[in-house]
Amino acid sequence: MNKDKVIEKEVEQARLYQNRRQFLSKLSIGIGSAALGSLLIPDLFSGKGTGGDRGVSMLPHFAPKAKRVIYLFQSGGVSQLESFDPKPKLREMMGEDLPESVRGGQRLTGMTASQATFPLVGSYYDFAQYGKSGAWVSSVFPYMANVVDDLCIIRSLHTDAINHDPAITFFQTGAQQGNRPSMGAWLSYGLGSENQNLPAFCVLVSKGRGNGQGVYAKLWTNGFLDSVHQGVQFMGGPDPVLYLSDPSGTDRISRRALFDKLAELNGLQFDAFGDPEITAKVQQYEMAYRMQTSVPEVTDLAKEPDHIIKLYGPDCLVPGTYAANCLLARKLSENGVRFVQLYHQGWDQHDSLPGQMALQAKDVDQASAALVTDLKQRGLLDETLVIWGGEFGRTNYCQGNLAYNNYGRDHHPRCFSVWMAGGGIKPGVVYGETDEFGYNIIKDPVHVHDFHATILHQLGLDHEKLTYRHLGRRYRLTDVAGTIVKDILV
Amino acid sequence: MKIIQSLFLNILIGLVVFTLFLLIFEYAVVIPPVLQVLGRSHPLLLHFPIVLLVLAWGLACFQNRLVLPAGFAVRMVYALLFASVVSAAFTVVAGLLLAQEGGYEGAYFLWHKWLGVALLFLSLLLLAYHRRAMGPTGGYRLLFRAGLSILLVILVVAGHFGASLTHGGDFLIEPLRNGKQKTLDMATAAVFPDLVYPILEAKCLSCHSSTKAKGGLVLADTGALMRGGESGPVLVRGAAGESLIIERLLLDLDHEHRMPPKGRPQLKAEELALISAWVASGADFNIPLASLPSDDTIRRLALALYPIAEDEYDFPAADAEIVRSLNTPYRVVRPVAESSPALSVSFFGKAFYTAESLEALKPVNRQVVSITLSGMPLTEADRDVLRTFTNLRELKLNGTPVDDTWCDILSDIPKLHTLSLSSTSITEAGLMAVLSVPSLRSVYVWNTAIDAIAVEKLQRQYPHTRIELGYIDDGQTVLPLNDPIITPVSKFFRDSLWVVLRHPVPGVELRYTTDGSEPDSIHSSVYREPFLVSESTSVRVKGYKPGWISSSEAVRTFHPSGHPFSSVVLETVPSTNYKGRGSYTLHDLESGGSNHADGKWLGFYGESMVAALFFDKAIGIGMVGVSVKQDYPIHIYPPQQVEVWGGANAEQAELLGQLQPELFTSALQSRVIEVPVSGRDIRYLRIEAKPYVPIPVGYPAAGNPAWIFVDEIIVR
Repeated sequence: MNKDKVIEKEVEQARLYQNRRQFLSKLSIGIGSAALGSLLIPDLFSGKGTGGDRGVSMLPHFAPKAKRVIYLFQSGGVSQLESFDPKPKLREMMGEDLPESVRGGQRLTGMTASQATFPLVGSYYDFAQYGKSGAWVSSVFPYMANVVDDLCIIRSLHTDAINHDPAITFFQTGAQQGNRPSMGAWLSYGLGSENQNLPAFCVLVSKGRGNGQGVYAKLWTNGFLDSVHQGVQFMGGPDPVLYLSDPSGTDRISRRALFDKLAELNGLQFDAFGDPEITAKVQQYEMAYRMQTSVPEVTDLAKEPDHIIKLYGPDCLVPGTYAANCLLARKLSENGVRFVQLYHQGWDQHDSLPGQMALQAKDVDQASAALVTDLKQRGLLDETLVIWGGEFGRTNYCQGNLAYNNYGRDHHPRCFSVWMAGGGIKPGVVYGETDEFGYNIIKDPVHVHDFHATILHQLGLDHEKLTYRHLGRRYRLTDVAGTIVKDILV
Repeated sequence: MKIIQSLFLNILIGLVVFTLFLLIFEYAVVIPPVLQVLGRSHPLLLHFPIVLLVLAWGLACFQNRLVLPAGFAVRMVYALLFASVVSAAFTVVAGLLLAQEGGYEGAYFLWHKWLGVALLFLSLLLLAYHRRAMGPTGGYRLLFRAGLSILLVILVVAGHFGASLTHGGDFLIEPLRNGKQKTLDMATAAVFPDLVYPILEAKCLSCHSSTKAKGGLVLADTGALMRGGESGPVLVRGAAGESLIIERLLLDLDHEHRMPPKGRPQLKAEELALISAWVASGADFNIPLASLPSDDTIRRLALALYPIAEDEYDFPAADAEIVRSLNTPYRVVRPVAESSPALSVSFFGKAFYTAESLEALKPVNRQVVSITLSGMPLTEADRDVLRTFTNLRELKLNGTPVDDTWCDILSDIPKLHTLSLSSTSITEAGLMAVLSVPSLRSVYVWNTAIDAIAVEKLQRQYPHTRIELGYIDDGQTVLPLNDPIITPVSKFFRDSLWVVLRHPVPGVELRYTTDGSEPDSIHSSVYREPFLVSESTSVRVKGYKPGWISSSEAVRTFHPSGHPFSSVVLETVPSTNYKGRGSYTLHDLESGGSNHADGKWLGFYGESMVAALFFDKAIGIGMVGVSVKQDYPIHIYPPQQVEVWGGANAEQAELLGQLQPELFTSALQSRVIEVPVSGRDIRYLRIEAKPYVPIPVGYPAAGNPAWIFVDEIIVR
């Protein structure tokens, strides 16, 4: 056979997706495994499917409560003891050593493992009850306290990791080691984009004044999923999405002509080879072209009315701040972006907690509450799930020197607080309970996997069926665990 | 053979007598444990008569069609029937013993019991009749065959009731009902008839109906419910704790007054809580569920008991090909979920919205249940198109040109339950028209002409619909303005510099000074245009706007860099992480930011910075400035001492001046340490900045070496 013939045959096979030999060998394995499969998995032929790859459907498994997610990630690990989980006992026992029976052999980070004592320390800030639900909120969050009846505060989240990178990676991807798709990528894969003119998964990063930890593109990776599902970062500067603007000297008309010609050539190539990747590429070019008009429209904050500026606080007009990102998140979400992931750095208070946390809280409090209110007044809160929280909590004992007005807390994986709002989550609820030391959970624990399963459920996805086959096995966001927290669903 | 037969006959007689005894003295008998074991073997024993009777029936009815030895069929039918009767007798006795243990009551039980007994006696009769049952032609007489057939029917029916007793009444046909779970329509349901009564019906009425009325209590109608029973009224409105019905429900399971009694189906925790909550709320028989606030206990319990009534769509799915063809980048038409006939539509990109955009959906107007048109430039024509979406549940019209003239159309959409009208021209009159839609649950009217007073009034009038007004700036919220922005960011310049001031919030008046005095809203100059700075100048600026608290002050001191030096050599090496741009950092005219790791600072840990500066031509100098960062909590201090050496070259350098900068108790950000020197014909300068080693007592990290961070050197 000459070269052309070989290539032709390859193309023919690619078009058929398999040759005779593959067909026969698959057939023999196929029938046997189908028989075994139907015995082991009774649903196999019922038409419901047991979770093959998503393919083209990109529809929710069942009618969703939430269509979109805005995740306000508080990177560094917000102290639950100074935010939503008051422990008066810690003030009473100020300076006393944490009983070993409470610690129960908990693995400690290198930062406090060598401490001779673990002196308990109570919150520097006072707590009060707010709203009809009477939820306790610390004095550093006056605005969130105002909307507490719209929030579901979960005090019983727990994680496996004790350091920032594994913990934040776990929250984002369901595994501590990385290389798995981020939650937003899973949603993009599972549900597709609502608005074809914007990415399904957008990322916004801001930095607070407290001790911070880095956030990096690994956290919004598509992992082994197709790269179209990767998070797209929106920047605070004049160029919100990198490499999107036309090179200087190019106008819209010539750009259009370029894409049309390119599509024509790609079309020829597709007719010859039939590789679906070619069509995907053409679609990507088209989307980028449309984003050139849609992105400036969405990122323009100048037209927001005065009372919106008052709602979010004047920082919402300073690009790159948390408040501006919250406002942008609302606009992206309103325009059909499936998953908006915010990160706000600076919650890692190993020392100087009372001073730093007040500053951190001041940066996020008003805008976080404003986002909830703003979505609500547009009728969007019912279909948008807002999540606020960090990667772990902080210890009930002091790291370093202890004074009532100056102390630090180390990382604590066993319990911490996050809140959710909208998206079919019960409003005005405090879920889960920790012991009087604020160290262990005594009621309704929620593991990170449970948290993921619940989020997917609200979006109409069965976390056991949203799978992707890679390296010989099916992967899920929740791996092999995860129980939906039914008690917090409306 | 005869002996065995007569033995079993005697046992049979004994069992029948025992059966009669048990039936008559039911309430007076105490069963010893040994017999309880026999009783509990009822579910085992009952299989024998079933099989034997079916065989007997089959053989008796179809013996003609089978090739059998003469007389075999008759002997066999007799033996089977006899064995059936004996086993049936055992089964009935065991069943009656089991019933004595308690826990079995109600219609299923009674039917099962009496059918079982009937089966025993009918089979006895047939056994006795067997001898004369042979007809003249050799087959069994019709009467006998009919008797056996009736027996078979009784057997099936009795068996079914027995199974219902142990597995529940719906057990058999439950799989057929799958997916048609009872649901509750939150919009139309009323608390008593749709929530409370079904519980009473399922768990209480088998004993407290008008036919049975145990304890004189009937719960079947509201009048009787209020009257109560022999122990008095059972319901005290508004006081669950005093209501007998709640008290009895809460008694310990072994208590003799516990309701439902032990062995009967019990209330679920949510059901019990729901009845209590209803009684506590005043036991209103007519109150609609939708009138309760969304966080009401009853409402939440209702949701716990009934899975939210998924919209049941009574229309077929649209043609998938048509749906696909309707999708464009600016109009997304998608099924609500996999295998759902309902479609949800969203429009994006107002520049691409045309008169046909909405109308194109006509082929699927039955299937569309949700439309998002927010921000689209709708026209009058669209108003009439909207009317054709008869199954529409959710409609978002935020920020569209919709006004009151649309409201009549909107109120014609029969199933609409969520309507967003924020940022539209709708007024109170329009809202009232919309509220007349009975199915409407939520309406959003933020940023419209409608005010809080109107909403409060309408909310009272239409308690079933949530009217969301959102955030209103009532002028009471006074926030501080954020800081003005001074550009350029860098503090150093060569000859002169244009300074630009701005504020992110539109309409802010900026007042500034350049003479070092504090700016205020009366005396300081109003900023109108960029101004030029050519010597060391401290720009101080504040922002003012009516309705806002004035901003805090933004300050930036600009320094002319003075004599340019031709080159600079760092004689000590900065810390690996904070190398900036090397020695060029010291004369790049860029100032470091608040982050010490931004690449614009040179950092030295516990070590002096020694920099050698070279000049092309000899100069005279009066001051050398070192710009440093200060951030005590992270151990960044100004140098303890700065020495300036200079001369014509390195060998001839002598000490020209030195300074020990003051250590302020609280210090942030940066400062320029100005060392007064005097020197002429200088071509070479060596600047040594020594850090605190150790940090003095009373400061953060006292006892440790301090960091110094330097971003620029100024020579004048």
